[in-house]
Amino acid sequence: MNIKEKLSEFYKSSRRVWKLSKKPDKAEYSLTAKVTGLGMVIIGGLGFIIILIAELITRYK
Amino acid sequence: MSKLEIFSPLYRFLPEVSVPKRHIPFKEKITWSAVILSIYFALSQIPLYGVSEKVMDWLSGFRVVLAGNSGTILTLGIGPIVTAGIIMQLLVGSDILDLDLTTHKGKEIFQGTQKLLAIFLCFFEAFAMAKGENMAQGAMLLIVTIQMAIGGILVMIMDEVVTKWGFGSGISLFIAGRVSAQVLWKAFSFLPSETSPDQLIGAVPAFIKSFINGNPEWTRPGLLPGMDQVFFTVVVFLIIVYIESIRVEIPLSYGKFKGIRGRYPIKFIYASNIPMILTVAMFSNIKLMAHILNTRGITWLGTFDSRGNAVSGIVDYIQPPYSLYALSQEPFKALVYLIMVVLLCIFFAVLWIELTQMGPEAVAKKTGEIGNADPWIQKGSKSSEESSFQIHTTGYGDGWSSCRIDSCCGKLYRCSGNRHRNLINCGHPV
Repeated sequence: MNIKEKLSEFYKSSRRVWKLSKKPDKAEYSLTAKVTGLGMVIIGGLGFIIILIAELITRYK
Repeated sequence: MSKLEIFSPLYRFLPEVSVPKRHIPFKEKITWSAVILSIYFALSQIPLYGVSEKVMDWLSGFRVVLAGNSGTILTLGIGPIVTAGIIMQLLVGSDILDLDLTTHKGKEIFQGTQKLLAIFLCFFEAFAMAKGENMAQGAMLLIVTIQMAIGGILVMIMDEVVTKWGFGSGISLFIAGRVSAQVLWKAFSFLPSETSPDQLIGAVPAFIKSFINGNPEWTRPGLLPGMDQVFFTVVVFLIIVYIESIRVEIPLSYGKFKGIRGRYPIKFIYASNIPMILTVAMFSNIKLMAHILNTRGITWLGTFDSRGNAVSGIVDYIQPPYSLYALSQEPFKALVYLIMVVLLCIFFAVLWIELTQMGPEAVAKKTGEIGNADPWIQKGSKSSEESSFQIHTTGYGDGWSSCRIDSCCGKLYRCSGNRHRNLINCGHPV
């Protein structure tokens, strides 16, 4: 097989898999987005508070 | 068994977190993860002793991915751990080191050596940082180096605690924590900026302030985050959530109980962000090497300007364009960067999946264990979706083939041949 055939073969199989793959539906997507966002807010919020404390200490000591 | 065994007497001197001997309840796991994350955040705010002025961080672009914070004890972040991982993977993957990772002994030697290497790299990278950035002179150089190295070792131990006693891996937790905290801080911080005191740091408070003043500003000059960045952050978040949710479900039918069907989901982005982390770690190491060579007057890896930006050589090509303006100025450089990142990600994804035993054979074994399952495709089916799956999976090789998902680009590789027959034929002949 030459490179061109290999590439087109690769493209075809990639496309097939893309078609076969299951995309999230609307309800699932919005749930995942909410949960992920909440996770970001929780762990990021913890970091935010610690950064804030550290900043206040170094600035106004 | 292996040349590496000469290191085994050293293993007992390595710091190790003991494996829990009992089941850890959900609540306790949360506590462990939260405590370690808090310690991580606190450490990443402690400035290095002995470094007076603010140093120019020429690895800042990579720092986020490596969960480090420049000028603090956690300057190195997960850099040494990940670098040790890459080196070991490359050595074992290319069979330079003859290690059988399926055996208990082999795993033990692999992990022990990786840890030794990581500790060595903590000191090495710390010294390179301190020397390359000219953080201190004389005896102070040693003190600064040791502080950063200890930070690196602490990250290693904390990672182990989370991995054994908490949720998922510590490395992922630290990266997620650092990125999330940065996003929230740059979006909502209400403190005035240190470089321009009349401006607030956070994009949202700054926007509200400008709105109240009757002159809403959507973008802000310089490095201060604006509402445009908030907008793009949200867009990228939404895209990533979508792509990460995509999966390929392999239909299974159980040989013992006719008619019962299950589905084995495989994430489309199979290796997730790991290839990207490995790629960035590699780039930062190249940059680090270039910097050290520069101080000795060797410039074949590239040169830097006084602000620490790469200006020539290979290092000039391994930094992403930082703005749309930079992209428009040098589109060719950005293209080279993009291609390099994609190729390296594919390479690391394949390597990672092979070595962590997430490949087809391992998955086949797992599906077999679940309930002696045959993938449904064997029985044939009429619907278009399943029949195309059948064509895809059985059309190659000597009758059997299976699919292997390559992560980053989200492409599915076909691997055919006897080696992979187990995924399809999970110990249950047709």
